Amino acid sequence: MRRQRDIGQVLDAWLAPGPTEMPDRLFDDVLERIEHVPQRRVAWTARRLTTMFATLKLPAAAVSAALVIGLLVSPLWTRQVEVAAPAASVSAAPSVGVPDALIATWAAEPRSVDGLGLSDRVARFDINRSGTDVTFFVTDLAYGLWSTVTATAPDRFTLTSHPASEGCAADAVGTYAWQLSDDGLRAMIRSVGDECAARAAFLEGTWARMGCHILATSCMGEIAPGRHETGIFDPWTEAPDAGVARPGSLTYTLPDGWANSEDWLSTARFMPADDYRARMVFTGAPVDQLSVLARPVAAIVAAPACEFHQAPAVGGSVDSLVAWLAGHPDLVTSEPAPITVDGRDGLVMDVDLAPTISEPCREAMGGAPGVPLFADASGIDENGMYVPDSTVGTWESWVGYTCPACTSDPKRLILLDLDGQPLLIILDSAEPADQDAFVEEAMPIVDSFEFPT
Amino acid sequence: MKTSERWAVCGPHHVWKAPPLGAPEGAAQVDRDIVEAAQRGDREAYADLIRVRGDRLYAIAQRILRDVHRTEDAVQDALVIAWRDLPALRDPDRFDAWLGRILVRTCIAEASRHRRRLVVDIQALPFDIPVASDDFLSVGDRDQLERGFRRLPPEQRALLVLRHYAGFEPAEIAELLGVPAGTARSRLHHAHRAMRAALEADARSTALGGLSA
Repeated sequence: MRRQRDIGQVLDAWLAPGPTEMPDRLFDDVLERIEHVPQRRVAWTARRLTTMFATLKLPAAAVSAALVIGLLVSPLWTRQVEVAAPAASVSAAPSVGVPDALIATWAAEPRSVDGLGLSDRVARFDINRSGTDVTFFVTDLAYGLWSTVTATAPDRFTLTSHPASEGCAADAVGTYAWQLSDDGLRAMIRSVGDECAARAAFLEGTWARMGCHILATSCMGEIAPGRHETGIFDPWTEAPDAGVARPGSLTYTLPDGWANSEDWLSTARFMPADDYRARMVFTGAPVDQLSVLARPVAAIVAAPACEFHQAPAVGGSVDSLVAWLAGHPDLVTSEPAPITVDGRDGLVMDVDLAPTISEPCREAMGGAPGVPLFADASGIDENGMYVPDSTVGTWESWVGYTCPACTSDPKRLILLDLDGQPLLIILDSAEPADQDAFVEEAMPIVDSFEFPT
Repeated sequence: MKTSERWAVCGPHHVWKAPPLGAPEGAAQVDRDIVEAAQRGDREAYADLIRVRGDRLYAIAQRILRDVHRTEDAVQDALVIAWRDLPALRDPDRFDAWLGRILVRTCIAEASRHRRRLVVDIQALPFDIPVASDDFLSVGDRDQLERGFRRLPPEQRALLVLRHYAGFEPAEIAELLGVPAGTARSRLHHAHRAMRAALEADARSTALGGLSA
């Protein structure tokens, strides 16, 4: 069949017949569901984060703090939060209103809860305010552990499961104690008692705040200047595994006016806040960015099929990858120079496209002159072809780094040796003419990197 | 044709369906108003939005997932998630591309969630789409295509459906998925190649008299 006919024509014909109408029952079900689902409210402007930090005060009272104080031994865990005014609809028990500091997506190491179909790479939940309603749900499931949130004390909230909640019986109540880290980006949550065992099993632990406003991407967003740590990024799992959420595996100091624009299994990315805001709507326009990429492998795209492949016969060590770059016929590279970041040895070099390049696959490169440099090892299949798995990435990271040098951009590349595994850092300005200035601006961030094991 | 308009179109073998987008002048502005109303929490506005898009979303999801129940789960999840996250959509004119992206993601998640079950059930599950007669594909061809398609990872199935059922160009798929055009082209090429490989694998196992899953 396929020998005689073009596969595209065959698929056209085969996919055409079939159902084309959504059943009325399904439409009605959706309308019934959304009757009970509040919308996630987002403030777009230079963000309530500043406000949030401004309103955070020292403790007024911490009656229940003793319940968690045994857990909160780190000097990071000192923050108390001035609670917001009581929400009108939260009438159960003594109500103090759910603080804005909790309204976010939160991420942590994966966990297993029977019957919930949770990701085996990262756990995420949302606490979402819509009007006076505050809801809790597992981010990746439409109804997972869906509950109403009520704050009953400055450091406590209760969760009451919705009748349609997946994983909890209707109206099951749980009480939790919580505490924020100093930077507001970590929440430690402990069950004080929950009628829904699945919810307690899921929720107990330390969570990283993901305030990302880039659609379908996981990131911390615009955060205060100072010292922070990643919540998900995992540079330690060995290739080709895609990794698991590994909070705190990269710590960094951000200057004022910068944002974390991606924090995912293989990628941590930072950019100026203006670029981050522009990136909220995907336009494909280039932005200034500092990317940290775990498990890189050398990549090529070759005619006639123009598929992305792992470059053959290139080793995985820093020296091998740098040698491959230096000998790349389509690149102009600077002399590799030694560099040390957090005591990890590596090499730094600047790369740019050669004045004339062989580009048999311009279409595959997006129509612009370019060559691929690296791919995510977890996307390399048994034939060496790069077929990234979107189920282990955000859309942003699904783009991955198939083509970090796919335009005529100069880039600074730093390859570090992390206990035998390479780690790639890319400094890339939106405008080639601004590259040197961007490197000067971004290198202090690189110098601040630490990789706790 | 813009990506957003394509969601109002049936597959390449069908004629245009009713608006929401693309047909009458001013429809885009009307839709923008409705999207903005829905973003403000107007459930009736949201119902209007999904009423004219539901068939299209359902048809695409069904072709990716090949199973009525999973399709219903994925579509329902997509529409609930879209409602929940709608205020986060900054540009109402991109509603259709955004909704399409959510649908594809929920389909991939649904397929991945049930991938193990799918492998087990692949022999037992009858294909539940009524087969239209045509002079192009035999029943045997269709069975082989079905088995081959089910061998593909969900994201590749989604790409093939977007291209060969929804009729999107690679650049439109790129916009829909939020990836560079070159990446979309490359992935589409991979998907075609994988489909060919799956069909060849199926043919080999059939020739050997073995199971094709």
